[in-house]
Amino acid sequence: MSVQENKDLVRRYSDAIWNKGELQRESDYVASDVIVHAPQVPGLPDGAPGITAFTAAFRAAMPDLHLTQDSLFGSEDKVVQIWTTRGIHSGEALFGFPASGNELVLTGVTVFRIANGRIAERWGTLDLMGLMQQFGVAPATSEDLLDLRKGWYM
Amino acid sequence: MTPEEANLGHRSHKEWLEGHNPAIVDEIYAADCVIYGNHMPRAIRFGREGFKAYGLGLYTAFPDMKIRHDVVVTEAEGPYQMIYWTFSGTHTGPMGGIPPTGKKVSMSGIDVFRVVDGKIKELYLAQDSFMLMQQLGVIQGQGR
Repeated sequence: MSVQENKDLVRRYSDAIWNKGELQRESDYVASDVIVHAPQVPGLPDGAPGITAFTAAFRAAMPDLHLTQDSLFGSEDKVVQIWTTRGIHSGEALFGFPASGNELVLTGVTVFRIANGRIAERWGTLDLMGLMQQFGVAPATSEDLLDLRKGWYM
Repeated sequence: MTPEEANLGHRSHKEWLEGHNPAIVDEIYAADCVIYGNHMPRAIRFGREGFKAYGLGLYTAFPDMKIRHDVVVTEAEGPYQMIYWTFSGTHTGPMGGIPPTGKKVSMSGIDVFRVVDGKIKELYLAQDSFMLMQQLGVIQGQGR
């Protein structure tokens, strides 16, 4: 597959899973033996089940969740996505924090390796510290909190 | 990007940060460079002098720091390069207000460099600083 085709796959995956919440369609985009390199999020399983659980928890907490691709580029079999998610925390509790009615903003970068038309491996980081600051459990100044709301481009 | 441009991320890690050499910043970063990364104070995210202060803070806290490159993605035609790295070091110097703990830490993260006219103009820095704070014992939590 070309870099353009790989980028299209990542774009369609993000839209279906993150923005539309079609978690049952994950196998359309992700290989069954996908290899996951991601930070351990407290309370969630390791590996691929952890990614699915993370997405499901975000969708349940923020029914209007929306992922923006700030940049998408690739080379050979890999695609890099710089992203921001935004949503109003009006649904379920998230990581034990009850709905506040506030917008939560999370930024991260994910790298995908594509093989045979599916995501075969992924590496990711996310700004868990920023999320904890928005929950009020990590130190943050009022300027920090304003910056967090702007996503990457503060 | 050119082979020289594709080497700027490597030089940033090896020559500047591991090598404790702030002069490299003037050579490889644009005068109006920006770091995008929410966990970093505003004062060190803009311009070369801010970057130097950021680097100084890092290699003062972790003088033996190493940045291993695990995955590199470099655009053939465009301006972007991604490096997925693993940082390791021993916390033997002060880190902001946190006194040295002597702890060995390790964390993964991603740098995305945007290179314009032979210099790095933007750096997206995504790292798991929450887990780092847990490793240092600054934040309590149930991480691994």
